[in-house]
Amino acid sequence: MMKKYQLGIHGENIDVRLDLGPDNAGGTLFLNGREYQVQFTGLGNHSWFIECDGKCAQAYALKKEDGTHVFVDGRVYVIKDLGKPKAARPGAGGPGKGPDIVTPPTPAMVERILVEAGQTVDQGQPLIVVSAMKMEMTLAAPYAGVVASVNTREGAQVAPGDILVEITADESQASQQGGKK
Amino acid sequence: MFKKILVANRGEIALRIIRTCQEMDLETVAVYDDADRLSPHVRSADQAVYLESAEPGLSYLDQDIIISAALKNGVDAIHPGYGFLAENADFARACTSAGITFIGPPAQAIEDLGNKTKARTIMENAGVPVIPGMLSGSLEPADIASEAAKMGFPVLIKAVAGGGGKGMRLAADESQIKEMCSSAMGEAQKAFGDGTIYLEKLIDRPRHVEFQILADHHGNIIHAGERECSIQRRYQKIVEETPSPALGSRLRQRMGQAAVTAAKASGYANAGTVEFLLDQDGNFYFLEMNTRLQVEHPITEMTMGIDLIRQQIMIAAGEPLGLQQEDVKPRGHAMECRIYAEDPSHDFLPCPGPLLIHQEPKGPGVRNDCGVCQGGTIPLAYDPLISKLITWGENREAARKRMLRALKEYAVLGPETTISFLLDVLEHAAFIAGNTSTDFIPRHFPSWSPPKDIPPAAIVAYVAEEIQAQLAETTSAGGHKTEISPWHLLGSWKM
Repeated sequence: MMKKYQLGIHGENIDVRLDLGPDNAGGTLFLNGREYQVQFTGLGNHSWFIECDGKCAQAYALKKEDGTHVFVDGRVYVIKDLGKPKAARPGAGGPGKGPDIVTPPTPAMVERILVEAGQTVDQGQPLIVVSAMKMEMTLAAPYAGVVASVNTREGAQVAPGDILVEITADESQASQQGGKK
Repeated sequence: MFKKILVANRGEIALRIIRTCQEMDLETVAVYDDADRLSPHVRSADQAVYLESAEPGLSYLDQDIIISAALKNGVDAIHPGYGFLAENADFARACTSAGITFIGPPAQAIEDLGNKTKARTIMENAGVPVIPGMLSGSLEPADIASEAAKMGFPVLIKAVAGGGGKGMRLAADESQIKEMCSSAMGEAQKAFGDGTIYLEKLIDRPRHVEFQILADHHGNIIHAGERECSIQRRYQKIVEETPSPALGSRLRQRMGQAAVTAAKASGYANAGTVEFLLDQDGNFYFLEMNTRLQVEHPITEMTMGIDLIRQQIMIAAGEPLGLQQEDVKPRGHAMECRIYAEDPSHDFLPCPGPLLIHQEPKGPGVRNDCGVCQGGTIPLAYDPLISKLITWGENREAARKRMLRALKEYAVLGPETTISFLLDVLEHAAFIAGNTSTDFIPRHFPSWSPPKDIPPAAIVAYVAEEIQAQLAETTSAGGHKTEISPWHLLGSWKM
């Protein structure tokens, strides 16, 4: 049975085909214009004994939100399946807001809130200070605009995806910024 | 000698201390909070006491609960480990008042050396070279700013109560000083309960070289060699080694002598560490004295053949130091890599969470001081240290090669870790040459991303996991519920 995968690995796209043998435990792998004879044996708990053109290796593979994390030889590779439709991320906001949201990069506690609703902010202006494991991190405004709302309070436990401050973009300034560069 | 020791700490260091206690036939009492209910240190001790605390992260700082737990359980000594109460003079005094031995230096020495400006004064008076800067602290950013203008930029802002890089900021010029002061004061207040700060002149590209001190209560003081800890991120060490590639025997002797002088001048007893900065011209300056066991103590244990925890316990019990300076000679070379649950491709952001796969490296000359296990969790409230991986070799290159081998064996999935980054640090030409300084990471690794070349074996493992998941899905969709048994997971096999 031929299996096809379209994979994204650390920003690179790779097409992989596997001619899977009837035992579902190996076959011929086509990768970067080369063929490999492969065997894989599950050892339980995401642990795999891999044989690839006669060379054996211990690997671990674990599915997480951002892709499958694979360990081989001290390195962890995050492999995304680009062939599958992406699940929409809840709470990610409207178009154009994609990564431009004010959210902590890790589970954290809100230390200080530096702005209030209605305030005008510049791009890069510190908005909120959070801490995780006693390390402080400052979340800055991703673009210039007016603070529409502050959705947290000092001392609150917050997680990635929580939008702590909402900003209505200042279109004139945004285009000016774009024009300069 | 003591009969029962309470270990007032968590994670790898609690486990480390418990192990030596077991080897000395001492009973142990562990303490834990909600985040650590299932931690290895809890189940390794003879007894474990739950610390009830209002706020996560504060339980191990609660002196009253810890001392009452010690009294209730007939403990005769408390080992504080590092961090938490280890450098808290009030706690050391409270132990003594309760009739319990504090395994560490006298409270007065902790207090004097914990105050960085006081420590600088003591060292200056004893003739130990100190970094040019202020000898008293301030809570007024304006005072600090005018002092900085006098000294000339760049300056380092430091917490008077500081340590471990907490409450430390670099001000490159006048425009940054006020902002950096308030940020340093905020962090210092939170970490130490004291926001007082002072200034030191910035030493250009120094090495961090520290000396291990052992001092008993009978006036004997020796040093147990140096540790080079120049590879740091966020002012925190991530790779340490001994001996330092920068020290010749003459400089080592001079610095060792200065370290012993520093310990004498501060009325020190028990294990401690005198930290120096070593500049490009071979001048060294007292940085601070850590009045506790260091995180990186195992590399000294590996080359010197000494169990530092055992030494600490013997000294605290009043025994005279069984070692003379000439008995302490290093053999070979040792390195330590700190394995943190942090994302090195995103500015070493902490990654708390479950440790789903954790396979430790093994083999000759490898030691892994680890306080978590597979299935456990790296809690949000504490330092994201997974383990300290230590290797010993006949020489520096053998220790480095062994570290590379051990890092490659270390499988961790769940949180991001520093392992892949450390492999690149240890393979860097400047590290191989021993050319390390505290700006090593910003200089050589201003940003880092994992390697793009992927071995075919990783693709195979990905595909294998996908196929297994698919098979499991089709089987359960067909109404046949499959029990996971080794026979299902084995795939094809031959005899």
